Amino acid sequence: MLIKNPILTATNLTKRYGPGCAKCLEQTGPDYGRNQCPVCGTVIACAGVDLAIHPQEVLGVVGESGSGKSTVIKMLHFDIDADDGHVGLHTGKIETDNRVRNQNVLKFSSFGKRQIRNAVMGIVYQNPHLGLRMNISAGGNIAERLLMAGWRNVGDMRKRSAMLLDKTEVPISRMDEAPRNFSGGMQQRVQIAKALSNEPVLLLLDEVTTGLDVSVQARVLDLIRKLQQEMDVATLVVSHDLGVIRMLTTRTMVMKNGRVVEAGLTDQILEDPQHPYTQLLVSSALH
Amino acid sequence: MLRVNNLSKTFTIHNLGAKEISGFRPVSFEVATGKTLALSGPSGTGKSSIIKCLYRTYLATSGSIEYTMANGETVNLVKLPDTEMVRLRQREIGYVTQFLRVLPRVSATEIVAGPLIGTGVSYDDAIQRATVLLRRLRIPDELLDAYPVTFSGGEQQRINIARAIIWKPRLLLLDEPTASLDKGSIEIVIELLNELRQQGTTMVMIFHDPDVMHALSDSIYLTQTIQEEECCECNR
Amino acid sequence: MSLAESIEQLPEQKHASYSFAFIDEGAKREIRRQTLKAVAIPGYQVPFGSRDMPVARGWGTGGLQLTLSLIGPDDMLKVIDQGSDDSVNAVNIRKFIERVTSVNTTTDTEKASVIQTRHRIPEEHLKDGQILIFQVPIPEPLRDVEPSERETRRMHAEADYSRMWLFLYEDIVKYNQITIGSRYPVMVGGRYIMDPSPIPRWDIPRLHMGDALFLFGAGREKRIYAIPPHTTVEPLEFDDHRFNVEDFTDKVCMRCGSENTYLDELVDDATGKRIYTCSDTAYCEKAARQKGLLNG
Repeated sequence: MLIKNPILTATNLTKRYGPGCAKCLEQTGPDYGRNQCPVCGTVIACAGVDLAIHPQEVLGVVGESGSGKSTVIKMLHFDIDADDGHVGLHTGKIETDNRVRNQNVLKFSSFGKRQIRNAVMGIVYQNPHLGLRMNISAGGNIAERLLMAGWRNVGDMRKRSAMLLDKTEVPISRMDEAPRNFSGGMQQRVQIAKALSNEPVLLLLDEVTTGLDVSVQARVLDLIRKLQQEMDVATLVVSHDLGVIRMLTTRTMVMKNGRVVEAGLTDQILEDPQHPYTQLLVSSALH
Repeated sequence: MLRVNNLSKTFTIHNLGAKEISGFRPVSFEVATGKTLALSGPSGTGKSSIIKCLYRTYLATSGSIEYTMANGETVNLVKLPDTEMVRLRQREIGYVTQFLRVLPRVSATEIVAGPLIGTGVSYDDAIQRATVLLRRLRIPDELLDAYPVTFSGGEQQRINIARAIIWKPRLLLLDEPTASLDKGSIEIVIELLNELRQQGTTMVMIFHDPDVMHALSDSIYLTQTIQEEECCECNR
Repeated sequence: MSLAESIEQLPEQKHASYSFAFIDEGAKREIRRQTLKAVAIPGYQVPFGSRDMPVARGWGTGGLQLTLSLIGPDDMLKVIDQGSDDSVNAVNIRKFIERVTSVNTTTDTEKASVIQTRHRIPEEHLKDGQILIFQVPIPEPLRDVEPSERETRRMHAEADYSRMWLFLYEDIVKYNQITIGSRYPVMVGGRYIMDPSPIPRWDIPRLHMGDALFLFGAGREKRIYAIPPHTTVEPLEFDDHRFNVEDFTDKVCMRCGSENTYLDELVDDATGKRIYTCSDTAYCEKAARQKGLLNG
C-alpha cells in the first residue's frame, strides 16, 4: 500500500565532470543527443533529476549506458558527491530523524552520510566486487553490516547471517567460505543478503542482473521480488533492461543523456510511451 | 461513480515522423455505483483502448475520467498523480484481460492471493481464500502450487480472473477475460462476477459473446468506427 | 661500540654544546604541543616532526623524544625493556638520558616519576603524577585491515570501525577465539580505537581508568598519542567472546614466588623443565627481598 508521504524526495540532482560553464545545461540533453558540453567539454552525468520514493513501492529508472541512471543511484547512496540537488529523508527510522528531517542530507558530513546509509539503506551493485569483500567469508560480509549497526554478539550475527543466506538461497554450508569462490549468481545473492541485513527502509539495486546468465538472472529477479514483498522495503531499481523493469517496478522513470525524459506507471511507459526515445526503447525491446 | 467526458486518445508515433493515430472516437458515458456497463462495437473501434485509458495504462489525450473514490472524493483519473493512481489500483480499481502476465516461478495460489496480501490480509488467510476460489473455478488441486506459465490457455485465464476478483475491487475493468474458456467455465465466471455485482462492485466490460455480455451488464455503450475525416484531422 | 660508549667518548665541550635533554628547545616545544593535543583527544594519533636521534629509528626514538621533551632536572627516571631494567636497550637509553640531563635514575617503579618502557607496564600500580612513556613500533591499529593511511584516517574520523570488528569476527569464525597476542586493539574514551603498543594482553586492563598519564611515541611513524588519567580503555570484545588475559593458573615465579604477575617462560637447560619468572625484574627483586628470599 502506498502511503502518501515519500520516504525519500530528491530534487534537481545534478552531477557534472568538468569545469562547467553557463552553456552546459542548455547545450546538452536528449534534444541534442549528447551529455558533453560543446563549449567547455564538461560531461553532464545527470542534471535536474527529481524523484520521490514512497514506502514499500518499487520505482524503476531505465535508460541506456551513459544515461545517468547509475549516477543517480550512487548519489542517493552517497557513493558520488552531487554537485547540486536536495535529498530529504522521512524514513521514521533514524533516531536522529529530528536532525535529518527537512535537511538536505547531501550536505551532511561523510560521517553523517555513513550513519544514514547504515541505518536506512541497502545497495546491490552490478559488480559484486563493489558490494562484497571477496576474501572475507560470506557470513562475515553480512556480519560487517550488522557490526556497523552495532551488533556485538557473534552467535547472534551468525544466526542472522545464516537466516539471510537461507532466504537468498545460498547454501548455509558455504557461509564461512569467501565469495571469491562463488558463481556470479551466488555472489549477487550474497550481496542481496548483505544489503537486507540491516532491515533497510530503502533498497537500491544497480543493474543487479546485468552480466548474469539468463536462467541465473531469472532466479535473482524472483528472489528480489519475493524478498521485496516479504520485507516491504521501498526499492529503487536501475536497469537498462525493460524486462527487469516490467517484472519489478510499479512506476518508472526513463533517462537519456543525463535527463529524465519521461516518468509514469510502468505499464503505461511500456504500452503507451510518450517520448520518442522511450518509444524507440520499447519498440527495440519488444521486437 | 464513474463519469467519462469527451475522452479521446491519439497515439503519436515519433519513429514514423510523428504520425498520429486515433485510438477511438471521443466517448462520454457514466456508470453509477454498483452498476455495470458493457462496451460494444465492431473491432477496431477502440474498446480495449478506452478500458486502458480508464486504468491509466494509456494516457488519455483529452477529456476527463471523473471517479468517485470510496472516501467520497472525486478525482480525474486522467490527471491523477502516478502515486495516487498506484494507490487506487491497489485499493479500488481492478483490471483483467485475457492475457495472463505473471511472474515465473510463482505458484497459482500465490498469484491469486497477491492482491489480497496487498490490501493487508495475512499471507495464510489470503492463500486459504485463493485456494477456495481456484477450486470453485475448477482448477485441479495438483495445479494449485504449480507455476501458471506452464498452464493451458483456459487455466491461465481462470487464474487471471481469480486474481482480479478475489479482493473485490470497487471498480472492475474487464477486457474479454473469458475469450477462450469452455462453456462450463464461462458459466462459473458469470456466476462469480454476478456475485461481485451483488456485493456492489461497479464494472466496465468488454465481452464479445453477446450472451455473456447480456448476462452481466446493466447497460451497453456502443463504440463507433473511427471516421476517415477524424484521422485526417489529427494528421493535420 | 655501544651507544653508551660512544656518548662517554664525546669530548666534554662538544657535549656541553647540546641543550639540556639533547633536543633543542624549539623542537621540545613542538613535541610538547603535540603531546598536549594527544592528551586532549585521548587515543587520537597526533602527527609530529620526529627528530633525528643518535639511535636508529625503530629502536625507541618515539618514546625517547617524548621522555627528553618532558623530563626536567628533578625527575626520577626508570627505563625498562619487556619488564627488565637491565637489558641492553634499556641500559643504553637510560645512560643516554642520564648523560644529556643528569637526572637521577632508579629501577624502583614507585620512586620513578618518568618511566620509559618497551612492551610492558610495570606490575606495581602507577600513581597520580607518574608518566609512563611507551615505545611504539606501529601506531595504527587499523593497519592490518587497511593498508592505506588516507583510508585509516578517514575510518578514525568517522569512527567507521566495522572492519576492525570484522577482523575479530573472522578470527573467531576461523579459530573460535581471537588470536591476537600482543597489540590488542582497545577503544579509548569510547571514541578512538588505539594500538596499545606490543604489551601483552595481561597489561591491557591496567590502562583502564588509570591514575597515571600514559603517553605513546612512534618515532619512525611520527605519531604521538595518549591516554590521560581516568580514561576508559576497553579491549574490543564480543558479548559472547570476551577478551581475556594470558592464563598463568597454577604457575608461580620461581624467584619471588609471586602468583599474580606476568611471567616469562624459560626452559631449564639442565632439567629440560619449564620454569617461570616475573617479566618485571625490578618488581620480582623487590618481592623476593620483602619475602626474605634475597639478601641485602
